Amino acid sequence: MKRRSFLAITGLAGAAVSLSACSGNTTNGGAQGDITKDTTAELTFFYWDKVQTPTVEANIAAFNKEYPNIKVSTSIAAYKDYWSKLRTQAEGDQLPDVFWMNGPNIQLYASNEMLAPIDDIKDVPWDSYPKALVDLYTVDGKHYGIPKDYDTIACYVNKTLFEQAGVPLPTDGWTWEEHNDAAKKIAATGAYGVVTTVGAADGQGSYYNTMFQAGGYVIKDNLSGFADPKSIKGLKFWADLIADGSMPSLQVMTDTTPPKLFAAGKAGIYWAGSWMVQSLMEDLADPSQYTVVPLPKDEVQATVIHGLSYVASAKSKNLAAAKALVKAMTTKEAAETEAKNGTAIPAFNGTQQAWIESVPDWQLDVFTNGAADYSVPYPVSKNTAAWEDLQLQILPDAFAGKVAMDEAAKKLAEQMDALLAKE
Amino acid sequence: MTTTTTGRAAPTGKRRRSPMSVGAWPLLFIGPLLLGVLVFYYYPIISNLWTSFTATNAFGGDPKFVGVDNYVDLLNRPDLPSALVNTLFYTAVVLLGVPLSVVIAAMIELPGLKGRTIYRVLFFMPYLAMPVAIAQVWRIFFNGNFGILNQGLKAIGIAEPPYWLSTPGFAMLAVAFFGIWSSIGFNVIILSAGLKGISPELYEAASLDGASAWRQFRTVTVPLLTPSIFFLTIMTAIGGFQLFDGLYAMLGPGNPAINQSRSLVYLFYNEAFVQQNKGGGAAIAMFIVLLVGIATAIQFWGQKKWVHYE
Repeated sequence: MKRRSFLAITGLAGAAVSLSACSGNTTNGGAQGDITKDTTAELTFFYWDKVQTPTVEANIAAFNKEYPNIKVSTSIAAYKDYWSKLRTQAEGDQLPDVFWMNGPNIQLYASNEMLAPIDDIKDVPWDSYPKALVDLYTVDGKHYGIPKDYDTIACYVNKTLFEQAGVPLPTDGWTWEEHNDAAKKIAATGAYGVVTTVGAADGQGSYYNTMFQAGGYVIKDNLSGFADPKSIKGLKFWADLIADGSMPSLQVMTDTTPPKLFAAGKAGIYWAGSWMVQSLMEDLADPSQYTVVPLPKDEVQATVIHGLSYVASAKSKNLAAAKALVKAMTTKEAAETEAKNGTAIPAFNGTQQAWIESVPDWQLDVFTNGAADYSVPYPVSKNTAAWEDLQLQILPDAFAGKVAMDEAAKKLAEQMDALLAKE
Repeated sequence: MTTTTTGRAAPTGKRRRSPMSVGAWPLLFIGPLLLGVLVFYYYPIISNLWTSFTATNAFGGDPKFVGVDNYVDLLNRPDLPSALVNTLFYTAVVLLGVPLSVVIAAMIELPGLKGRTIYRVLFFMPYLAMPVAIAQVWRIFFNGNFGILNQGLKAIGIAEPPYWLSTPGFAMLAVAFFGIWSSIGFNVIILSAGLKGISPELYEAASLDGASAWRQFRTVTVPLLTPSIFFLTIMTAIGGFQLFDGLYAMLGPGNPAINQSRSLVYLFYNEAFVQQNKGGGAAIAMFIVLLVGIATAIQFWGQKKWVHYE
């Protein structure tokens, strides 16, 4: 086993080396300052979603119309490997010139001087992006990323199962009680009432939303919010659904993932993000039997909002060209390409309509309205991954009912505070 | 006379080395390999030892010497005992794969067996495939909702078979089963080579003395295979202590049973690459090195009693 793991690792290292080889071939990128349309340079660009390749390629082609002599070579890794590869490259001072960044990682990379501040890019229309996203990528008062797209959470529902259970379809402003009632009635017909990725401790798609809806919070002033009674109420929401059979056990959802259960027509309600639209469209036998409704509300209505941004490496040998690429990938035109391809909700205000219309039957404006009216930023700190891992270690047993939620939440808050104190 | 003696003495002086000596030649031949081992094995181990005494930033930079803090943290971890128990349990179970392989190898090498090559290929194939890819197949096999195993168990009247991959205990068993299954191919190849080294005359002599096939296996085959068996025991034990890829691919971080099923290397992975604590991760790695070293030393000490080289 050892030998083969070693081979796998050298394979990875090989990939890193070949990536770095590209950025080494500098002709005359111009380290700082302006670039012109004659500037010659080679840039590397790294991203993770292969579904978005056509969008990425179209936007690079547009960039090359303006700067024909700047060659952009792209590379891609699956989301799970993306962050470990990026980290390896960062440790070896071989970051790609431009790459995708997300909320949990931005502070880590920015505060360790891996990313170039981009305040000097001219004419960025910062007001044209959702403020929550611009703020997410602002660290210590400096801009590090220009928003690319955003995502919010909603409930995908199976209309057929609602009908069979004799439950009216949810309307905007439905409550937790109505949600739980519907889930219970659907479960009584033999299907699963509601499914979500709660077992994998994916707060974004599930319990972060209910914590906010109950009036709680995840992190504030660098302190954990998990022990807050309202947060605990939001967590218990899920434990109760599992306990009364409205939601399948974590084991069922581990062996067959929630999107698979939902796509197979076995679940009435599926809590998930806007990024699932495309793959559900492909997997559902008859998409017209499904639709999207806003998340139910408790004390308040809430959905987590998160989005990606384009960032440039601080160590880029062609920093000026890299910044030009960051800007080119986030223009209104680039956002329109993104919307037309339907892969993600573009962040540029006013370009979302094409995305909403990509599935006319599904009322996708639920996602964009949520973003505009009641979204809460995805909670992050400097080392987000560290305390997200704690959730994974502590919460599943509480969702499964093996330990009391209050105790689990308190334990989590204590350990999380200890980690936050170290940041 | 004197001149002749001295004349003769000079050349003998040059040849004082024993006739067996070949000078620096061997070093030249093993040099490239030695260099590789030094650069890719010893340097990382020493560098890791140093890292285990430091605290770095999330990207491994800015190291600060912190003495044995990382080791103290490690020994105070509440999840260390369970990771140790899981690792030892897994190692013990995969070691059962060695006797199993001896039986399979002996059967494949039975004189007069038809289709020997096909069997060899069949048994060796799992070793060639990517462990992560095979693990995906086994995940489908063990799937609690529709997996073939549980369908079979239901068919024979077990109403509620367990969720193999997400129930603590069963999950470790499933991973260990996968470990045994994927180690058999390599074991059989090594043992087949060992079997070929056993002189057929010994079997002839044994059968003339009236020894049954079982008795021949017990008193001729097994004792003469002990060097190969010893080698495999060492390798399997080391592999067992390094359990990670099977566990990660079969269960993964989102599994509700993972907390009770972590191995030592899983702890290392989590500390170094999820928690981004390089020093802490390095300390776990040194701890594993120490354990493997002790286990291997014990085996070398024990081998004198049961391994026969003649």
